[in-house]
Amino acid sequence: MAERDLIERLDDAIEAILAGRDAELAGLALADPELATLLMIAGDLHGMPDPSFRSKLKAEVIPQMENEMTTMTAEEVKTDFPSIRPYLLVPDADGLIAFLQETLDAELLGRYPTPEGKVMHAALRVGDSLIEMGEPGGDFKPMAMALHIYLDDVDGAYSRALAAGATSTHPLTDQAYGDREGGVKDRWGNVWYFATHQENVTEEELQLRFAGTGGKPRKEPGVGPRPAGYHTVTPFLHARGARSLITFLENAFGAKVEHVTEMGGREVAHAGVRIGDSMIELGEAHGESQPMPAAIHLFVDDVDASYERALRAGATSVEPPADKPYGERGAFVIDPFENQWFIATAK
Amino acid sequence: MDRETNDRERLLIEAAQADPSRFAELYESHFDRVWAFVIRRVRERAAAQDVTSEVFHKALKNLKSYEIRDVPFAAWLYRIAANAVNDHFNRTAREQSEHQRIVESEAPHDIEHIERRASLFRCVERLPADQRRVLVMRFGEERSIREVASAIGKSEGAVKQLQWRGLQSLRAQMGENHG
Repeated sequence: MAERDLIERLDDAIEAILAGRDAELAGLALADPELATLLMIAGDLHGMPDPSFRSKLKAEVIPQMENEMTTMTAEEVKTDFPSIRPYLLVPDADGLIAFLQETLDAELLGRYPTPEGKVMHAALRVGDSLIEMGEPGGDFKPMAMALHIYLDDVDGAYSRALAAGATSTHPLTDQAYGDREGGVKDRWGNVWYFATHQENVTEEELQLRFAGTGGKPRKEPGVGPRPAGYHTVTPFLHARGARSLITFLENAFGAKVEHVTEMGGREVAHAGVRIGDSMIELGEAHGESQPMPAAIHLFVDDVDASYERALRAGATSVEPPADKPYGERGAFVIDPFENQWFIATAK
Repeated sequence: MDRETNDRERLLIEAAQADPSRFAELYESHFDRVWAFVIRRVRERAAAQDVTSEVFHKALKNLKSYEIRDVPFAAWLYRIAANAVNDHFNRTAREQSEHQRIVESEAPHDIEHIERRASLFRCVERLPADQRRVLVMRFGEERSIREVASAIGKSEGAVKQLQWRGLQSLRAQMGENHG
């Protein structure tokens, strides 16, 4: 029997199991020995526990579950992850966790459920970086953001992402600026720039290449997969008024501009600024590249001072600094470009 | 259970006896067998959740009086579960005869079947993420193919294929576990 027929017949039989129509099953199972063994397993799976019940009961039975979260989150804080951690706010965060596991071999370090079993907070390791996420609610609205991921096997990640349901925003290409890069959009709307750095290109050479008079992109031995100073994961802020955003980052968080590429001598096509041990990239939003703000968990030395500076630089306060039960003192502000900043100091 | 596992479980029990907030790991490692025991008798999901909840509340409440040298921890939990199931059927007397029939006809092979089923539930956790999500939504949440497809953003055909592959992976895993 063709596999497609078997798949359909299996599903018919599973419908019968789930509806408690046991009599129908015997006939369906007898029709094919392959089906018979799978249906025995399906029969045993019928009545498997609902994960949301499991986590809800755990939270209800075990006292001070919050303590466990405190400990584990403090562990994340204590480890040497970079101080900038993108915070994805998406419905069905479990789906995004699965997407990152499949595409980037992400390691789930912690998943803290709400009483309903949804993801209140989760943390995944991707290369040397941490990506955090939670499901929207209250002050936290869903938002899609753009992330730059530097990795060795960029071709593999790109094709795995497409296989996992993402759509291509641009195919893999050896770019003038020295990266082999392609982009995908996941089904939550986040844009992922997958890249491997393969050539160090000076700003002068880059402008020549843009003008069509420079050299061809090539793979330089011993270079990559990341440019100097970059971690695996870097948030990419597409902003209208990128130059003003740079000024905000300088004033609020003491950002240092490391490189700026201009188009036509005016607009910021791409800039890299350093905050603490991490980079943020940004570029002017126009045409197809519409503004795309980000939510970022930013660790600083003194959250109270950073919060005050951010407000003076034009940010709006959502939550003033307060001691959190998960091992940090944190504040929440939104900048004039709609980026959300969860500023924190580890306690 | 090998000696190393035994020692580890003893440490976990002692830690939880001293501080109930340390019960989490014991809960995780025994949840599936308690659930499998209860759902086999109390077929209705909402009632099975109530009984399972009662089992774990009682287990934690009585943990201090548990003595590892008397009985293995799993057997202790099964005893609490059996009592909770009996209480449940005493409350719903009409179903009593059905319960008796199950207990009398299947008791000798019952625990073996429950352990196999609990181990199957644990195997689901080790499946590739997309297969796991489909099987959990289908069997744990009893959602239709259409609902699963919409929740995970794939076609109904793709969901059926993941369901097929997931069951095949489980068959392979269970084959490895049981030789």
